[in-house]
Amino acid sequence: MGKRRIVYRLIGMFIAFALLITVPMTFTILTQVNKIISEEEELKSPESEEYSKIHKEFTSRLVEQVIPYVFYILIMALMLSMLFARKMLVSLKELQRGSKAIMDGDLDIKLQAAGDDELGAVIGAFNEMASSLRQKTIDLQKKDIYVNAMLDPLWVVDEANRVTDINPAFTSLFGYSREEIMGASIFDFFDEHNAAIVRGQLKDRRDRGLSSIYEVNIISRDGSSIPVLISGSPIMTAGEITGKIGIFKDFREQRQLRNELQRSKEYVETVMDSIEDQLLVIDKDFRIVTANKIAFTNSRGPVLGEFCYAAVHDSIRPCWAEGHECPAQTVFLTGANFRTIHQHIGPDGGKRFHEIVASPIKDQSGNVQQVIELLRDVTDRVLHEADIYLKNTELVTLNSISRLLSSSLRADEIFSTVLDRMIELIKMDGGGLFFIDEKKKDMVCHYHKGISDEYVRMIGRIRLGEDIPGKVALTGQIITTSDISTDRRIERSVMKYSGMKGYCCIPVKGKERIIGVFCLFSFKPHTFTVEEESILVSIGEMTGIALENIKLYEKMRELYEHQRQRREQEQAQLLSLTTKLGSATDLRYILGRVMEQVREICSADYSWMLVRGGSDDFLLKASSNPSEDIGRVIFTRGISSIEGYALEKRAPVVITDIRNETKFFIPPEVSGVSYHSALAVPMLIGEKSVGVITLYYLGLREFRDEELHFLRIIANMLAVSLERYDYYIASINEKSLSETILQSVADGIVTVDTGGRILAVNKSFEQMTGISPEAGVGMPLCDTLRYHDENTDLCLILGESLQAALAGNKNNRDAVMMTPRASKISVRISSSPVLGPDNTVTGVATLMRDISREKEIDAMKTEIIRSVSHGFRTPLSAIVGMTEMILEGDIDETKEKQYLSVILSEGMRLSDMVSDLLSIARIESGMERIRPEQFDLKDFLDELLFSLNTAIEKKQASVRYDIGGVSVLYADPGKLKQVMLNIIDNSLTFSDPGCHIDIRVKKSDTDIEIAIQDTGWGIPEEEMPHLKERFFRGRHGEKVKGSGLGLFLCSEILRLHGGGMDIRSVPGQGTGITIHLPHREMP
Amino acid sequence: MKTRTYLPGIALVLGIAVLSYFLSTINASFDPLVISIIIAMLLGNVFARKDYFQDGIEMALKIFLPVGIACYGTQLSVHELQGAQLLSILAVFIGLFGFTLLIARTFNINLKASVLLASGLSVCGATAIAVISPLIGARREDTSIAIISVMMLGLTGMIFFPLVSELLALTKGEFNFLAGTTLPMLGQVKVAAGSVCPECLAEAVRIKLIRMSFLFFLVTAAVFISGREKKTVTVPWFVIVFVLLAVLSNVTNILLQWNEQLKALSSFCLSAGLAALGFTVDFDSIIEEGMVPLGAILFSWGVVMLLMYLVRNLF
Repeated sequence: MGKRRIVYRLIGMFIAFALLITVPMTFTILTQVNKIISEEEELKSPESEEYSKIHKEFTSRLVEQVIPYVFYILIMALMLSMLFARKMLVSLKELQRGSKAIMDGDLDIKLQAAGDDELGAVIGAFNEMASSLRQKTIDLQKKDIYVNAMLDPLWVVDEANRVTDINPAFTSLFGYSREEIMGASIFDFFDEHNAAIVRGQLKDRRDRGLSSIYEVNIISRDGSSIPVLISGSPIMTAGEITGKIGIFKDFREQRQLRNELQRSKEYVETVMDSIEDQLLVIDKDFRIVTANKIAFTNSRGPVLGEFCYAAVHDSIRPCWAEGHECPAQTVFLTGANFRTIHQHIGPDGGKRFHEIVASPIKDQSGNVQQVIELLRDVTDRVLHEADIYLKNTELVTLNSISRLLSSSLRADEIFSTVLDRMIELIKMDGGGLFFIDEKKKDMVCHYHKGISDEYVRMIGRIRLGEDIPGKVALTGQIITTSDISTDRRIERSVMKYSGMKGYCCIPVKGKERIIGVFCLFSFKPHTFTVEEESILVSIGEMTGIALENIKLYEKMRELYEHQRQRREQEQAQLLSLTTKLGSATDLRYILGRVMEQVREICSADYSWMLVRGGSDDFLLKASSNPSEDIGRVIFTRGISSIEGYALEKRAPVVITDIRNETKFFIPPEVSGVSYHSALAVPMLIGEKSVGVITLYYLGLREFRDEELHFLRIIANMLAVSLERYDYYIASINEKSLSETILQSVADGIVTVDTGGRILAVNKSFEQMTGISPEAGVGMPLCDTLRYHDENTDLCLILGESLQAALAGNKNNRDAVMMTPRASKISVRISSSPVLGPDNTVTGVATLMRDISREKEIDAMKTEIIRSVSHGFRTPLSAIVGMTEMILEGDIDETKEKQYLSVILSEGMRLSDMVSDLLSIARIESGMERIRPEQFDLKDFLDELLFSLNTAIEKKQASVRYDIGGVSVLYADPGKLKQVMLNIIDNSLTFSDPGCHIDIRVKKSDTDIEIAIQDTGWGIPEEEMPHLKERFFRGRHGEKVKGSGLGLFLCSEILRLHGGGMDIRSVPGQGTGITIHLPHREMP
Repeated sequence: MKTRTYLPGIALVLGIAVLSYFLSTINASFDPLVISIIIAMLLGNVFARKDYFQDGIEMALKIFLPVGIACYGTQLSVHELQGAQLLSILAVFIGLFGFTLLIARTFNINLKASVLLASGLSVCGATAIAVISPLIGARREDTSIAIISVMMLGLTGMIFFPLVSELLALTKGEFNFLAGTTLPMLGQVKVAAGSVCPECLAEAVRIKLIRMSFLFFLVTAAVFISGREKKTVTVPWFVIVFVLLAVLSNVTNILLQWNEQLKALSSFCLSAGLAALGFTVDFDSIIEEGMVPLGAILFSWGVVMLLMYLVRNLF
């Protein structure tokens, strides 16, 4: 590349040189030469002086022309040299800058290359060098940082063992500063002993180029000796040892730990030796690693290194080989503590028990490395425990028997269970229970176990005193024998040859007598201990007592059952009474029935109930005799009676023999029947006395306390019912009164609870909303009105009103309601809170008044005022305007007359309008009454047409009528005339001259039709619906003056008559109006 | 004592001026000012012990350049400021000055160096630069590079114009106008015109002299521009003398008899002044400037000539 570039440059320079110098120079020389030659040629005489002068000056002139080129070339050379020198200069300056920066320590310098030539390459190399230098410096700095950051002290020493460098950790551990230590000999920091160690290490290892680690003490600056671990290495440079480096590890802590470890070991050994049990540490081969003093003492041979089973148990086989679970093995497998008791044969040949507690010794990763075994001789304890266990079993058995005896009342269960327990307790093979039959003086086996039924039948009945059971039953003493077959005491017994060996017979004793006998046997000889015998006797006694108890219990139970049945009977009677008292409201009937029942319950012959009347007389309230006259006075005030006495005493009074009774007055109803005994029970409610119930008996009768008590209850119950009945009657009366008031109110009233649910509604409400009390009560009020979509707003308003009332505020609101009959009515909702006794709001009473009529009247008034003022304005403005003009006097007479006639006609119109309005007002207010009378129709029509004659002539109209067989009419002739006049006047007014008017009268079954048909202008279809409206004036009305009240008035009058009016019209052809009048005869 | 300090420097400067003067007599195209500055730069950067000459050179700068400028006032003639070509010359002058200034600024050359280049190219080369540079307080390096660049351009023009004239078949009048308006130095005009025809010489020199007279206005303008920069207009004494002498030589004939001497003195003093200036300039700084100024003025010069050629052919 470089060579090619040089060639290109040479070519470029050559071309530039040629273009810039050679071409112009050649041109100049040629020009000058040509010039001189032409000058010479001009002279044409080569020999002339001028010619030779030119010739001579040829060279100098040429030189003169060329000289500037020299200057040009010089300057150009200068410029070119500047051009080339520039790049070199810039590069050199850049290098100079870079060098200076590196000298100043700025290694981040990056030089800019002026080009890609050699100088550029030099600058590139410089940049690389600087970058490499920077990296090396950073590495060195990092190493320096690492060394300084080392927590372990470090020193570097030279070949002569003089310190050449240390790190800050060295200063912080030993206290020597860098300045103090630099150049010092390393042996200055050791005492003689340690110096010798260091020398030895240096000589043996370091000088041979080897590293080593060893422990020495270094003397710190404050004179203390610090134990350290030195890690020393030689520093090799080109294969030669040029120095050493030593890294120190502070060993004070380790040394302290070492000492503590030693102390701990000693402590552990002391503890182990102080334990009274044998303590062994066993490895995985089950060899003893460590043992305490006791273990050594107890062992008859060597301990350490021996198998644990050999050293401890004198066994040649491991424990598991003898069927025991080896604790060491278990702990090695499970890693958990293990406790067990081993039985071994002791040195004396006796059984020995060892309790072994084995615990794992784990390494850091949790693996069991060794096992500690603690062995204790527990032979005494184990034997003792076995004894306790036996006793305990006995106790448990006894306990279970006694629990059974005390808890069970079933004799069968008791005997079979006790027999089983006894067999189990003394490990017998079977047994049986014999019961004594006192009467027959013998015994029969009732329960047995371990022997067949045939054998039992073979034994049959045993007489008292015979065989072993008979003797025991007689004497009450237990008999036991270890082997009945060989027992010489027993000579004759069924059992002797039955294969039984061990045998015992236990008496079952009651309080005073022997009830039966338990017999137990085994097929092996059994020696009965004293304890066993005493236990068996106890069981026999307990069983006897339990048997007696069961019998006693059964007797008690019978008694209790009898009592219970009596109570139930009483309660049933009371219930029946209560039911009767509570089930009906006809007290008289009920009381009669009750007295009858009381009489029956108490087995009396007659009973009555007397109550105190208004003047303290005793009145008959009820009697067991239904034919009695209830309500009559039995005792007047002041008469001494049993009943009076009972009330006074406030306690039942018993008269055993009333025949001989002189103290009390006996009424004839009683004395006449010759009752013997009487019982008067007062009816009391707390302190209040209501009356007395008296029972009479024909025979003599004594009363038990519970009977009296029962009667008192009945009397009090009746008193309460009586009182409640009175209250009930009073409340019914009161409620009935309120109900009547409520139902008679014309407005709808509904009461709701605080949840907005209906409590009661009255009839008006039902009529208004269709909600009956049966359907509505319990329903939310608002929900009941949702039968129509348009009632949504009503529900909202009602809800607000209820809310306000529930908050304690009375309020009135107006709303529109859609009735179930789909008619819209306006209602005023007035809600008031219903307050409870403590003034809390317990509900809301809402009154809904139909104010549709009021609203309608209101609207009607507004409409009348609006239409009247509209109708009056037009004529009045004409009258006022024209009157003003006449008063101003600016008009001629003709005009004035014309105006006055207009004023008159408008005035007349106003007058007509007023009279029409008055008529309408009277009709609408209901003041107008029709006065119907019978009149002749033809006369009526003639008179009518006569009064219209002027108008008919004016229009040149032809009016005809046809009464069609109807001669008389029953109506108000004045009013009907008004109607007819109005209609015919309209026909004339809204017709062209020469029109025809036909009046036809027709009679149907129900009414009379008067049809008036004209040939007038007709009425546009769109105006038809408005014809009967007040002040309506159609399109033709604009041409003709009128009030717009005529047809409205006509329809109102006809409505008063109970009739109506139909209008039909075809524009351009005419209008037909038919009047309907109900067909009436004169009453 | 002081004299001894100044003497070596002043002597050296004077020696260079004398040498330049004699060298310039060899050929009309040799400008003593350019020769002296080049010799001084070569000496100052290659051989001389600067410390030894320093004080004298500084003194020489303070003495010779103002004196040379002041005396140069006599060389300005407004008699020629008339005739039909005046407007054309003025147009070329303005074009050259303005365009050079614009191009130089575009080439990132500093404003003062740009002004020097524009003045040198459009008025009278090294002389104009020498006169203007103290007025606007230009750097010595800028002055040196401007002088050398303008010189190089002038020489190039001088050598190529006859060739161009031949190639484009310019009339003598046209050639005279071209040489007179576009060559920066009088000697170059003379050589170029002389090589074409002897009668052309006078006309081209006349046009060149008209251009030179614009220096008067340029100096005045430079004073005010520099004053505006400094906020206060302080007119140096040599400018006052320059203006005075210019007025005197144009209005009266008093100086006519001393004209040649004053001209020689002015040229000599400017030569010495520039020698002193060249001596103090560091070559490195000039080299660092490189060929940019030359490139800038060559471009502007070429464009103006192209415009002139277009104008000639169109009208």
